[in-house]
Amino acid sequence: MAKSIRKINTKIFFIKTIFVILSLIITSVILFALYSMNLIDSETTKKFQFHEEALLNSIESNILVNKASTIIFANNIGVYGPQLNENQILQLLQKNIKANPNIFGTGIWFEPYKYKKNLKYFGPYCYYDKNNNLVTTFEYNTPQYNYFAWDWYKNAKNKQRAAIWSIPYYDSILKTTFITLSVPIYNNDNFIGTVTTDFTLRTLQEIIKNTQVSNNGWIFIIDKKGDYIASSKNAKINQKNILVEKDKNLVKFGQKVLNQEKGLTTLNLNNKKNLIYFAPISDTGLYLVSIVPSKDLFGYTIFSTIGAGFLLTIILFLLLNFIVLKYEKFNQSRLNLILENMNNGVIIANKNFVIEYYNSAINNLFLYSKDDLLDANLNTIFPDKNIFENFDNNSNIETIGLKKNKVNVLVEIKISKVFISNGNKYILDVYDVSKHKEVEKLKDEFVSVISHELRTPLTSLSGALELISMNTLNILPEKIGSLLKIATNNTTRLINLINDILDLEKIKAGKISFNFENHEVMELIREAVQLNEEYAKIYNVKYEIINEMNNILVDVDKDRFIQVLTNLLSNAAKFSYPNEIIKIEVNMKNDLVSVLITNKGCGIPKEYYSKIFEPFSQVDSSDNRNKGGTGLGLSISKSIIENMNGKIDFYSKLNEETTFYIELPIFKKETVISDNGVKK
Amino acid sequence: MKELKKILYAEDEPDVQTIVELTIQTMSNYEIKICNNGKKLIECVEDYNPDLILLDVMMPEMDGPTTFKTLQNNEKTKHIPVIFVTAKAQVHEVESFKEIGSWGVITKPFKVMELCSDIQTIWDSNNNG
Repeated sequence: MAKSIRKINTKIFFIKTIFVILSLIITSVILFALYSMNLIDSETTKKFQFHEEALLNSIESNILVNKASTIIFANNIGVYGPQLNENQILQLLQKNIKANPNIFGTGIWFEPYKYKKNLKYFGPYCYYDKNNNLVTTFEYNTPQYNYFAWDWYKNAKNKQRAAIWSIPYYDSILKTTFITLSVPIYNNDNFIGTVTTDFTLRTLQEIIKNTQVSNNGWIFIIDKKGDYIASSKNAKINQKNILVEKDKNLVKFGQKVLNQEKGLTTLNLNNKKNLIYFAPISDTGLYLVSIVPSKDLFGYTIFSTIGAGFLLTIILFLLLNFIVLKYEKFNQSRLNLILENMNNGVIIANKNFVIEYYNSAINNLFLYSKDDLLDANLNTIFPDKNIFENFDNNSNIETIGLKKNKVNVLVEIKISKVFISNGNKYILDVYDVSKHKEVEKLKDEFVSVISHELRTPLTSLSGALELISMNTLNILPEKIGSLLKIATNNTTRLINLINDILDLEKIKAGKISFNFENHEVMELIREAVQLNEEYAKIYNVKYEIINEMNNILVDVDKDRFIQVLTNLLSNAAKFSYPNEIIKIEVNMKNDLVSVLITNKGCGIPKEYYSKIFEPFSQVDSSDNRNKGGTGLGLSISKSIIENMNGKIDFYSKLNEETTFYIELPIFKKETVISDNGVKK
Repeated sequence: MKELKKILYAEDEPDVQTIVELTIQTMSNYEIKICNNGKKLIECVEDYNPDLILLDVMMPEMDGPTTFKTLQNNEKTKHIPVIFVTAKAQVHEVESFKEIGSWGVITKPFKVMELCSDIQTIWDSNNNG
């Protein structure tokens, strides 16, 4: 492969690479913009909600530290009846409390009446004081503890499968503020009681600390007044009210929270942007607030998005580069293979017609060896300088090529002027036509010889038959007479066929010169009709010119035009139903005159439409024999009419009628002629 | 106007010879003599002294155009009109025969019924012209 091709490919590769980088960068920017506008918000919200849920779950599960065992024995009671007696249950609860110093009391409360027959107490319930001494249990009929009338129990009963938080309350005996969490127990969907646990605010505080979203964050619980009940920051607990905070933003936010709103918002604290989730904790009159600095949430998102985008860009870029490189390489080697294995010669020359590349077909054609012609001028192999000075882009030029051994070779060149990266280039497609010309010459000779060699015996044959017919027709027996007629007719047919073949060859090769003259179309039609009237009688049909349009001139070869009309008229007669009239009509539209010849007959089936003007293509070849004709008439007519810049075509209705028409440009339509024939 | 009476014809195909001879004899009052090729025609043309010569184009020994040239080069024969009878019917061939000075061209295969009238037409038009 020549240098220039490589250069071209490198440049293309470079451009492609830049394109790839640019598109990747643009894609990343768009992706990032989309991400930061929509995706991040929704993702963060989800994350936050998840944290809130986790927090509450965590609190609940932390308080019921040994929830699993609690539930197990609760289930045992519910499902199997009191498999454990009350003392055993009491022992389990005591064990539970001992293991969890922040729980001050826990118990199970059963639906009254339902289990009273089996139970001595309301429920096994016990308290331990701060020194882990058992304080009390309650017996079933202790009237001051008719828990089933209390709100928290009714709430737990009415609220399906959700933990019930009490409001904080001060226990005068233990001198501590408590919150009670009640978890309803079910047996086969029937509410049978609650597992209830009391814990101090300090417990809540510890739990909150352990469930923080971010180390820099802050979770707190406030009551209806705005007092901090629990906070992940030690300093805040039980000391301050949110509404007296120094930070006005925080105060404003506190008011919002106390208005029972719920949601996700942003808040500036100490000039740092924070995301805040806040919501009332169900039924408690408490509010949970979780604050996380934006950078903790977004920080990694923004930078990692850019980072990941960048990394992705580089990876994609490398990958695409690799693919492009492979593709180019593959393309190049494929292009090389194609060029080097072509029959046609290919040359690339620069704007000064200096050869930059040529393929091996050029070597073979001009007998040069590899790279001999590089940097040579095109004149070295194409001595005719004129061809490069004036040429139509992409047109074929026939010229003499000069081989290395000074022998001439006739070639056809297609020159294309193209723009390739570093300037205008000429691409030459060179084709050796000497063989082609030779074949053409041979074909001409063949046609000439065939025509002569066939015509000479036919002269004798047709002459002899005619002479016999002339002299003896009347005296021969009828059968011999008809055989003689067959021989005569077929000789005539053979002669016509040879004439038609030669005619078609000549017209197609452009070897017929047309004698163009202006004629009145009507006159030509009348003459053709007259010439064919006798012929029509054979088929019992008549021609009728249905309209006259005088003074329309066409520029045609009269004899050839009449030949076409004769062909169409005789076809119309041949393929008409008997005793019908063949209509000839003349129309004028814009600068065109058309002659329409319509017969009533079986028409042309659609599948023959495309073949009708092809040589030897009568609709039914058996019909062909019946009707006579060589099958070349329409082919010849089409060639003739096209040589006259006209058009020939047809339309047909099966089993009804067929119209063939010729369209010709009007040479000059003379203006109105008065009645006495004088031009106005 | 001179009347056409004697025709001399050079033709190498015996079949065509027979057909033309029979046609002329049957369809007209012309007298016809036929030679096998151009060379033979040259040999007997002065003796026969025809009013018109018909020349086939492709013949052995001496072809039509050569015969025509020979006749033209001979003072005694150059006045005798010549019609080519040829199967070489391509337009440029027909034109070339007219260009070298023949009176006309009759293409093979010809119609027996029309041969005599064609000859007469060419004869008449050239005599009038």
